[in-house]
Amino acid sequence: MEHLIDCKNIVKVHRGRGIGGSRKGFKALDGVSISIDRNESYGLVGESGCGKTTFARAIMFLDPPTSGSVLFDGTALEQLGRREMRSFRKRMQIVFQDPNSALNPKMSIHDSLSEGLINRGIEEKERIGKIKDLLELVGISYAYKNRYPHEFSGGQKQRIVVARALSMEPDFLVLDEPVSNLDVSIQAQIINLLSDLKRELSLTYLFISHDLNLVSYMCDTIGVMYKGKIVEEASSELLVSNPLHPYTRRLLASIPGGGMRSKVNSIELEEEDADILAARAASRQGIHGFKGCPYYSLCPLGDDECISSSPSLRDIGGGHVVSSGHKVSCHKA
Amino acid sequence: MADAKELLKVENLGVCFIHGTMEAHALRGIDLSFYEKEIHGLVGESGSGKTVTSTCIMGLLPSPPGEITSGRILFENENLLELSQGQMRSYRGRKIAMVFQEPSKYLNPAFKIGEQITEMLRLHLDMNKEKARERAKELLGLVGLGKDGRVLDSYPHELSGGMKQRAMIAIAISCNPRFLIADEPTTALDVTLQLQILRLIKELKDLLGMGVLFISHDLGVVKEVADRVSVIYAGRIVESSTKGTLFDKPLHPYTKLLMLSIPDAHRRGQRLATIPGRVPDADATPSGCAFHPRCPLADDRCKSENPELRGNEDGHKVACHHAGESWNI
Repeated sequence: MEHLIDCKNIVKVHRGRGIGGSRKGFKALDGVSISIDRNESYGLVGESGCGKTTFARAIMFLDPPTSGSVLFDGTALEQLGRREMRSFRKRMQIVFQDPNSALNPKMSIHDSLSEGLINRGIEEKERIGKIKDLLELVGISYAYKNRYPHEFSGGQKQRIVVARALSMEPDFLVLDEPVSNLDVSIQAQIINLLSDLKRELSLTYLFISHDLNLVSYMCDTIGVMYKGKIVEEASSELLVSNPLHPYTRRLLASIPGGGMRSKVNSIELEEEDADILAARAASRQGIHGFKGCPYYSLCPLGDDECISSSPSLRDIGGGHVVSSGHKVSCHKA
Repeated sequence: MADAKELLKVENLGVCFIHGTMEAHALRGIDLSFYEKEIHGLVGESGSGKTVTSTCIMGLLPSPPGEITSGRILFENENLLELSQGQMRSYRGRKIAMVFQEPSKYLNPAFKIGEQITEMLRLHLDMNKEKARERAKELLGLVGLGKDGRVLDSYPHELSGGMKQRAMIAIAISCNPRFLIADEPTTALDVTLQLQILRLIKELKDLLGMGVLFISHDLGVVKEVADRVSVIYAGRIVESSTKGTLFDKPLHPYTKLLMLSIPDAHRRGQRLATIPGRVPDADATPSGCAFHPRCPLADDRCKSENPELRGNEDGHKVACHHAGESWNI
């Protein structure tokens, strides 16, 4: 299958203000390369602050990356000018976590949905038909078109946000924690809706979440991010059944309810090993410009090799006839 | 757990919020029993009345608009609802303590962690400064913030989210409370930290012999931590049992659907079961069984008659006319 989107070596450095801050900066993304096939859903998991959202914003050029290239269906996005980028962006849309802040409270949903369509230069008559179709698609009655966001529940608002993203007829949709703010009984409704839409409209998803349960249900491929790097990438089945990176194992073992715990042989460094942790943190700090594995200070397997060099993402053929596409960045995997 | 001592009992508690002419019945008669050394998980969606329950037990229900319309809360042979504000103050923090969802909101940013712990000790236990500081140091060790007491002199902003939640727990357990309320204590935390905090709460429960009310919207979290689970829907307890029974053999259709609607790797490719509609607002609770408009088993009886919470011989309680029946999903 061909790649719809190909990201190579995306680096994002947030420059701090003040003395010294501007020179060094904080590397939020450290050379992330992923490619997503057409009609695939790619799940990006990781803890808060690991760079998931920064990555999504970077590849959509909402907040352009410091370096790296994004090839979207044959077009190199970094070479587009501002204007061109604006019109190109209709092919990639984003759904945010919190539907309450994503919708303008002073616009009726009809106006919210029209905005993009007007920008696309669609006549009023056609527009009304389109809005009707969109609302139907996401399961909101057209009779509600003149209502304002506060008159809807959270789940309905999220449906409207999805409809608005779809109004641009995108190929690629970034879903940034689309159900985290919703009630449990509503989450399943939205997840089913998203799976249906993907099939009906042959969409490609980048699904960002901290919930491994959800991502392993939804996505074909999963990338695990830690401190701005992809540490493991594999198909959902493979990642869940045979996680190789100690961080992935730890994440799987942490899923509350313990469904995965029996399967995953997780070795953890907990508080009882505080001495080891402290020693590692100290040794890490002692080395100027630490070059080792970013997970070293928390890793139960770490040794001297992990201090001296940072592992790179490599393919593990692992006993399969064809290359499994299971990539991991760990010396000890 | 028949031998465990009953610690706190909520009986037929009803709460109503009054806004002008609108009456919102947030709790419509709930019964809950809490035992020593037991974590009682209360699961429900937003607006179902979880937090109102905890604020009533703490005596912190804002009134007006809130009003307790019925029921008793029995703790150490006293009805907490009849105590004066002054009497309640001697319970709150001393015997009944609470851990909140967002530690950064409830820690005072202007005071060091040590000062916030010792404040409790000096107020409730009349300790002097030195003794309180010693005790605070011990407490920090207990919650895994280091035995050297370095954190005592830190301000909240110097701590990470997980450390702040640990500090909150240290404050809550500082006076050896008999009963701890944990209101979504891990919702704001990452998964790996979440597990650590859940384990910590379990450990402390055994160590101090507390009863714990653990409120969460996440069935997985409750499965992880609780010994007994109650499911609340629209201000009523719809099902209550020990954890094992509830998760193996749920009887109420709402509980079943909740469990089926959680995605995981095994369900890949299958559609998730959904509950149509949404949680009713507290001012417009449906007649009869509040769940009937969303229930696949509902019939005419469910529309008119509200089912009682009845227990079977194993102590598994359920409020449903069609308890245990199955249907085509």
